[in-house]
Amino acid sequence: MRTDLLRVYKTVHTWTGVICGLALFICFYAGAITMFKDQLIDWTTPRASVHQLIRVEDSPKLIERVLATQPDARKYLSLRFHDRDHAWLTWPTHGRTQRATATFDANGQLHIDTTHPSDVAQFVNVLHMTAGVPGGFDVGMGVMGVVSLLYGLALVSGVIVLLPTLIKDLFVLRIGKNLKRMWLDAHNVVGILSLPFHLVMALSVVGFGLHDYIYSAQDKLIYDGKLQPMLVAQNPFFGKAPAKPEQDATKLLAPTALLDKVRAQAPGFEPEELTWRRAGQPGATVFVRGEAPDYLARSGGFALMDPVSGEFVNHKFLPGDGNGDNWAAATSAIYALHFGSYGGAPIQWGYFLLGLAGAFLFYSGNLLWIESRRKTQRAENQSVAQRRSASFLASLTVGVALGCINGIALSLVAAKWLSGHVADMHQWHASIYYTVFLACIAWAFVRGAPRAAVELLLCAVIATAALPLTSVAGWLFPSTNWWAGGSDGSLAVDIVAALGAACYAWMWRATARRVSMGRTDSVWFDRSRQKSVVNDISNVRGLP
Amino acid sequence: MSDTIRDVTKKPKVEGHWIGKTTAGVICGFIVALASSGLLVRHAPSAGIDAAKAETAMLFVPLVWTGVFSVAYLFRSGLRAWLWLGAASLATLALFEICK
Repeated sequence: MRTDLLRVYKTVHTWTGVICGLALFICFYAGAITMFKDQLIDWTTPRASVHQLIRVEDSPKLIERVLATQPDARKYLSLRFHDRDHAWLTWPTHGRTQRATATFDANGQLHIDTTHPSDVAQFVNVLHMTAGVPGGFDVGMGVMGVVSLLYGLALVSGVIVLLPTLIKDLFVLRIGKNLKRMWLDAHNVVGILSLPFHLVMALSVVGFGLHDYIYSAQDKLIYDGKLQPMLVAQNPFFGKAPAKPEQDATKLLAPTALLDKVRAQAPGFEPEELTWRRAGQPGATVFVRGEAPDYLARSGGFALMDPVSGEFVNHKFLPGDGNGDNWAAATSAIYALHFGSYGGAPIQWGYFLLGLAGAFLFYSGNLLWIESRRKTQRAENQSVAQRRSASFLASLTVGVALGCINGIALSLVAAKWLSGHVADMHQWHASIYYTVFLACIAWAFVRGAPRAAVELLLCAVIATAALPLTSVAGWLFPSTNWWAGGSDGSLAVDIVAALGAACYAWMWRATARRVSMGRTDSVWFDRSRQKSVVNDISNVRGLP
Repeated sequence: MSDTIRDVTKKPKVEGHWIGKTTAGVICGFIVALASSGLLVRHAPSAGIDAAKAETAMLFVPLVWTGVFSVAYLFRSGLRAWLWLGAASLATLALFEICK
């Protein structure tokens, strides 16, 4: 390989990486957590909701009563299955900040509970899609689309740069004196081994983020302006059922009958939720969402039905033969490969670990950028001032990465602390995340990267440990209203958070040792914690 | 003296030319990708055009776009990148129009 080419691609890799790295860190960390969104919802839902379960067989009467008396439910009403025979009948009210749940009380009267549910799992999911870029969802997605284009370029250029030494470097992790070498080896091995995962993410997100622009360009060139009406009419989520003047729109088919039709249409698919839109009006639909771990199904598979006749309006994204054609299957595969909505638990865990490894990739990339620009101390007692750009990126990297970690952890734990005390949980979750995130960045700049890294890692230990500790407190002292457990999923969240806190504790110790004993000419050296100047770093492990 | 001879015989170096190559990669890459997705829509075996096919064609664009963007830096200069990738854009657009 020609060295001039390698040099050009090295520069491409360096700069695309530095521009995208921190946004991608947030997306990958939040995305890894989003793999267990259902378990997080279990963790953030008070246990009382188990008493609000109804039998699916009894649901038609309840649905009829709810639709007759509750105007909000006519817009949007969902039946969420707990298991095959039990479900919750719920709908959003008061501008979606509250959720109403209907049951029949002992006297057979309609009883409605209204709660302020935490949507923190969805908040983390949106964070994973937009990196928390301000300006709304569409702006955030657009920004991530552009970032992903550069990220794709970073992947290709990174592979090109590594190619000449790929065989020599791939399975070597040189732990030892040369810490930059060790971090580069780790960066390379994670990057190459998870390359297929990263290519899927980079390419799919360009489409997800920029689809409006791509569609409108394609519309002009390929479809002669007919694309938008077709996409609206055939929208697999929001399409309308064909109007049938002869049928009575208020006579809804029973959920069990709908489920039977769905199961007959897609045997490998297990429905999890039915959602009626504009129930009782002409053109109303019922949306079925569920799981099909044996298929590369989009979001686990879904379909749109006519709630009166039970005919399918759109079943292209149900898994199995006789549903989608090859085009629907191709689209489904791209979505499934991005979201890991196939293969069940092993794939979920795989994506979780690959997501965290991705976050490490971007973090280590920034460290290598800093280390490549390092001026080394050549003589004893000569003081070396590192470039301001290196100190700046060190502070920014520490602030953003640990700000994201701390912000997510505290926003999650607030779901229990604030439950029942505040009206608009969504607003609180967002405010907590952004406050913590920005405060961590400010802290990193005020204190400098080495000190802030140690202090913010200690924060991360405490914030992450707060999740299981809050559950334990709720279990020991039920009066705190910080419920514990309730399901395997919520217990698993506690266990994983405890393990995460242990990992951060290890990083905290290693970093503290590093900043006090490292070389004095490193941006990671903290003079105030200095125990001894060790410029022979053979006995120092950890950060470079 | 020997240095001069070596310089003459040496292959011309690939230079940075960041603005030229980046704009060529992004713009021409998008055009090539767009025209390729048009060829996919028109010529892939399938009865008609529906939303799922259109979505696949949309998701196909990033693949080609990123690919072309990545090769833009192989050229010796920004001008060469623009000439070659511009020609590739015109060629794929022409192919798409011919096949209409």
